[in-house]
Amino acid sequence: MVRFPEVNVWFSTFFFAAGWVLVALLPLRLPRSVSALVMMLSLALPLGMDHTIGVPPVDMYDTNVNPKLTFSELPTWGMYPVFGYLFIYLYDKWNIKGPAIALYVFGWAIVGTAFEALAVAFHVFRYKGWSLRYSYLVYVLVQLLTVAVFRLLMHVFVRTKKANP
Amino acid sequence: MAVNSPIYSYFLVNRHWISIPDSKEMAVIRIVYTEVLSPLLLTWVLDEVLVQKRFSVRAACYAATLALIFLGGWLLDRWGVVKFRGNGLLLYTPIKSITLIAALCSARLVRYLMRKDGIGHGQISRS
Repeated sequence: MVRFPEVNVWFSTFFFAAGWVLVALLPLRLPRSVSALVMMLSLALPLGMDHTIGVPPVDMYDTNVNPKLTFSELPTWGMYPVFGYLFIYLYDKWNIKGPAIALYVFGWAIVGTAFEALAVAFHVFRYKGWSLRYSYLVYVLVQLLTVAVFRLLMHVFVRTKKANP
Repeated sequence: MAVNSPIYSYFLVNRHWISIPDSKEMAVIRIVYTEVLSPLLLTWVLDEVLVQKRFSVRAACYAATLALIFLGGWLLDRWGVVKFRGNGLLLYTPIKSITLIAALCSARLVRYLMRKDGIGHGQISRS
């Protein structure tokens, strides 16, 4: 008997596809290598979280209903780099500096937390002791780290370009 | 790190090839090793190996990295941070070598994209 994917997989697949289409349609603004590294960071950090505090003995939440690793995780993983790329793309496009960085990070953390609440409603995450309040704090810390890594990467990139025109 | 984490979950939750003590301290050691030390070491080694011209040197370095992965798993087992069960220890190195392949692919991809961005091989100084 054919089993149709559950609502959580449809949710992840829709946002995964829509996100990557959006990334493809956006004009190329950042260096390709820097974009790739930002995306890798945005994938590695949440995956690291999912497979450390999301597994025993801490086990604060499950992803995609089944605690086991399944193919339904793939679209969920695909959403993470899109989120990180859009965050850095707009940060660079709007040329955010100084105290505005804090406002930008807090704003994006609200967006991230709201999206996660939606994902929880669609059973992409199932909390077992976790809370959206913790997520907000994690988003703030991770996004600050992403900004720091991006600035470092751009600094090295620009310096290298200047030294080797 | 992105590949290393799901592999641990596969061993732990899917296959039950490792069991872990119900101790938060041991969990911290496991997390620091799998999420920080192991990916950093693998990426650093591969980044250095990729600039080696001789194939024999590169092959020897990859073999040494596999031995290091096995040694890491064996030590974690000896220290009681994780306990291998069934085929766990036997399959640890082959499955964990996926991390090595992924790290190699990502290092090559980034180097390729750097060239597309106009930064040639070896132009980035470490200072």
